[in-house]
Amino acid sequence: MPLKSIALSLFFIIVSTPFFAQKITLSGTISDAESNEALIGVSILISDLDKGTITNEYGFYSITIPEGIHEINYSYIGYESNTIQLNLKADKNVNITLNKSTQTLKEVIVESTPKQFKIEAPEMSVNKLSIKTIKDLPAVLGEVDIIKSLIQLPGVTTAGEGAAGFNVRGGSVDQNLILLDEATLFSSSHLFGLFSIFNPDAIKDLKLYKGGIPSRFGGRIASVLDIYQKEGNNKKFHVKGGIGLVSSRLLLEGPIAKEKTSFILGGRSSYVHLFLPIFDINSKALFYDLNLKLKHILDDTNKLYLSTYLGNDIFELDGQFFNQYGNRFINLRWNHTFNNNLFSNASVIYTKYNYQLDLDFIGFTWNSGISNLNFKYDLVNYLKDNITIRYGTNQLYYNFNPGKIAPNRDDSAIREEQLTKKFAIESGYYTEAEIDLTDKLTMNAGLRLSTFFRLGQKNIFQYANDQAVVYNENLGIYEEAVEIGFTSVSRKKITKSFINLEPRLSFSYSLNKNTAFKTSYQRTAQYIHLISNTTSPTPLDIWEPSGQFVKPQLSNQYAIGYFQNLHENTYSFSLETYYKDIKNRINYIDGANIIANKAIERVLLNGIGRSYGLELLFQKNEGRFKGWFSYTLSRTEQQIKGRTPIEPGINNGKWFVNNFDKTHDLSLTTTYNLSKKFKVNAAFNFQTGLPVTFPSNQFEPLDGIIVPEFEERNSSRLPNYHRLDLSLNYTPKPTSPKRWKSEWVLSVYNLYNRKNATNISFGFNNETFRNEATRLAIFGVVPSITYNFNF
Amino acid sequence: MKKIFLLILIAISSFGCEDVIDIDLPSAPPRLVINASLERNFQSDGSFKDIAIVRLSLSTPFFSTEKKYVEDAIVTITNLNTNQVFTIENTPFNTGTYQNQSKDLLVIEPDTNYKLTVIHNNTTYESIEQLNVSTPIDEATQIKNTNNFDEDEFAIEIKYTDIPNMTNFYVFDFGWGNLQSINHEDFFEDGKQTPTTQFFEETRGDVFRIRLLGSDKRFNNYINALVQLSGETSNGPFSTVPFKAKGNIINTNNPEDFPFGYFHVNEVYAIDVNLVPNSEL
Repeated sequence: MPLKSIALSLFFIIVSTPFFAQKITLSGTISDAESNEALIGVSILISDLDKGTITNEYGFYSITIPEGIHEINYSYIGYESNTIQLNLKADKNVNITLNKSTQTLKEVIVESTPKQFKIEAPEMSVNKLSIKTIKDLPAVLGEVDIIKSLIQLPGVTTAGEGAAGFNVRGGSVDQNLILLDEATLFSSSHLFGLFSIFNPDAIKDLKLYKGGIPSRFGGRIASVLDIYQKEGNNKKFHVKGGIGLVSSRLLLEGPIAKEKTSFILGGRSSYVHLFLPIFDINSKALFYDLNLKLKHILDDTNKLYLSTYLGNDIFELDGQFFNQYGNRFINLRWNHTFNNNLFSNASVIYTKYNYQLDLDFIGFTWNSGISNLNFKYDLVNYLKDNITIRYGTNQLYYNFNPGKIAPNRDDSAIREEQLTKKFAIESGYYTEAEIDLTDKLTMNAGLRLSTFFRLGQKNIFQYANDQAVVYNENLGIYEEAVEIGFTSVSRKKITKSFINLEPRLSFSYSLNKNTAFKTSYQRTAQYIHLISNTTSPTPLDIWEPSGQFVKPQLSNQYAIGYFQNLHENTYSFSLETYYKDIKNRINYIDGANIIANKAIERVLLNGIGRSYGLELLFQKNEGRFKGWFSYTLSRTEQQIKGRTPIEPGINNGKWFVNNFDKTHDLSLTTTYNLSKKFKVNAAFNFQTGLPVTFPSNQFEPLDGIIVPEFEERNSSRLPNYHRLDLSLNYTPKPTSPKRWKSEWVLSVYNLYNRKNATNISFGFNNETFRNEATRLAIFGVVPSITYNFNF
Repeated sequence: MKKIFLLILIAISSFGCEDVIDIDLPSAPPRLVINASLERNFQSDGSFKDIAIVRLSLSTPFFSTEKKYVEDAIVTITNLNTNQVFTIENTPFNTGTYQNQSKDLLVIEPDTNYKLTVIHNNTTYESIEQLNVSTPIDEATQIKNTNNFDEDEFAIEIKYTDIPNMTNFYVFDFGWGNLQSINHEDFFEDGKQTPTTQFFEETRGDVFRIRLLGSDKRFNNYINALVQLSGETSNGPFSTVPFKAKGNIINTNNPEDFPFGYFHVNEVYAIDVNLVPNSEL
């Protein structure tokens, strides 16, 4: 284009603007009228313009519209909508409070979820669950569990009951970024996976990104679980709690300085002798969580937040065995609104996961863990009426402690030893723009630049041909290499660096107000790896940073979907399909010892993975009868080829299914409001049995040891899994004007007592002198009762 | 470390439910299983007794109770330093057992390569190993088991002194297939007396024999693999991925058709403990 025409066009744009109405920006914060708790995802609709936006994670919104008289509608499920009329002549700040609809005497409208789709946004592969929905799900032993409720969604599975964490679209547990108030958690489970660490009373909102992950998130390749804790009621003091069979909860919230500073303090603890004989006073097994959050409103444009979490599991057996592990973090955040269009958030976060084990019969104490210091700065710029830009950075400093062993008895022969600590810096820089290209086509384009610098350490082992794992061709097995030397490098020096560009792109094309096609592409990189070669991760698994021997995991995901809202959003329907590939997924040599291994690289093999599937979700969002039906058809596979033609890799280098692959995964989740006092919830699940490795033959290689000859990894399957859960909520006096409100929850998990195999083990029975296959079913029928209160 | 998983399993199993089920398993052709041990046993008079025992069998379907012994193989052990060949002859008990003849004067010495050769069905299987030295057990005493979970369990405190100035691997053999490997590699004080308390579920008789075998890293890894695959923690939620436990014996004709089993050459020290009921301690 000649320079003249560019100049002419520019001139035209500049000159032409005044001919249209002058644009102004309307912005503000939306909160709950009763507690002043910021509300996330409230929709703001300018009725006459048919334009809208939603509030961000801090309840902030900003929209640019022509000046003049407008009708603005603020609506949020579970709340009464608020419509105001404004004559807008200049930029304006409008803070709105919304009333809960349950406070009125109208028919109780309970928020339903997963919330109906926002049709025009390019956001796809995202599920939101409100804490209310999660609390309505029937739960094992009545313990409301956020992670277990995610499994009711399409594309989310676990490696069985009692398995820690969750798997998203064929991703492994360590590929999920779990954020609680923006702080990374390294484990999400108590009791090895039976319960999750989130105190449901302290949680406000959560969002799970299975794909189309915005570029502001990085560091994990499969998903982002973004959880926000409540900020605390800054008007009135409140107490909330519950008494259950497994644990009890108490949550206090209230103002410290009215309408300025608020706090929330939550605690949850299981009973000391959980699952242990009560008479055994020298042993204990328990878990607890503590959540504390402070919010301080400095002024209209500045807010400060302090969030902390501390959770632990403790096991003690008769002084012989002591085991404690858990997460903790502290997070300081500063929200600053520069102007009507520019919102910012700065965070400093310290996170730590620690594992401790004392074994008295061997005479040692063991400590391992991971910690990081995280600095984040994020900006949201509502540039024009059709463009929102986000940009920011994230800097992480990691400290990996693979383990320290020390004697704990005078006569112990254990020598104090610190396995070499590892250090790294991970950085992310991103920009992301949401642009309405046309009336029908919206785009979200993002780019993340991520870098990982592995820093110097002591004892960097060197191997012949740089191979830490050697293939013993003679015996046909992989073995640990022996080092030929080692070096030490100062922690100030970078020993290995990685740089990746991660484009993220999604489009939404709305056929009409209720129907849209969406498509997305994402590339993600992950620099830290959980070393775990068990069926599901254990608390003592350690994290390994990428470096000379372990490369970063890289993944591409492509997804396409159809979204439809029906009957004024009473129903919604979505169909999505995805394909994902993964590079540099680590796997382990046969019989690898990963516990207290001073050179973990000697047991690692490098592989690739792929996953594809179809996900269907049908929801009824409103009315007395609500719920959703979800179905996933999928396959998740991995391949570990030999490095040379002689090497067999794993399973002879063929593709084989992952531990948590489930061909069919179906769930039906429903809630029915019988009356204001009674509510019935039901959930049904059906899943293809998990892949397992079964033996064919047996042999006795040493006297008295009968060993099964296992076939290729994951070549068999457990029987299909299915289960029905029911629960009944009873609220004695729903309309009582008194402050004290209470609720009883009766639930039955696995109603028809299906013995679903968590695993089948094979061994020799010393009494019958025969080999046997033993099925372990963790939960048979489990009835429970929970009492909840608040005042 | 295996014990940790066992304890975790106890916690889970305490409200889970276990039952024995019928299940169809995949089938596979049988493999030859070679359990070959060359032991130099320390005697109370200060001498060593050298024994070669080889047991040959075939792997059988997992649920089968039938044993398939191999009686028609030719088994030899060759001292590669002297090229002396010892024939290990089949015993007449039909248990697939082959043993050295005392007249052969088989002497097991350190720093000597020993080659095991098994010829069966025109196929030759071979392995070469050296003696792994061991150390005497200083003390083994039964102590009161204060564990409330299993009153029938008995506890023994064992003390042995690690051989100084070398990286040592040992295997405890408590009989009836109860083996435990110990790596004095990373975390133990070199050459120091090492106490360990071991718990046992059942007694078979009043005398409990503890044997301490000298080992190496590969044999310890093999023992760990067997314990892992055959033990109570096998294939549980915290088990490692199961695999085929390959030993150190190769099929020289067709490496793909490898045999199971191991050829191990160990020095052995033993001690006997007289057991009394827990309540009398």
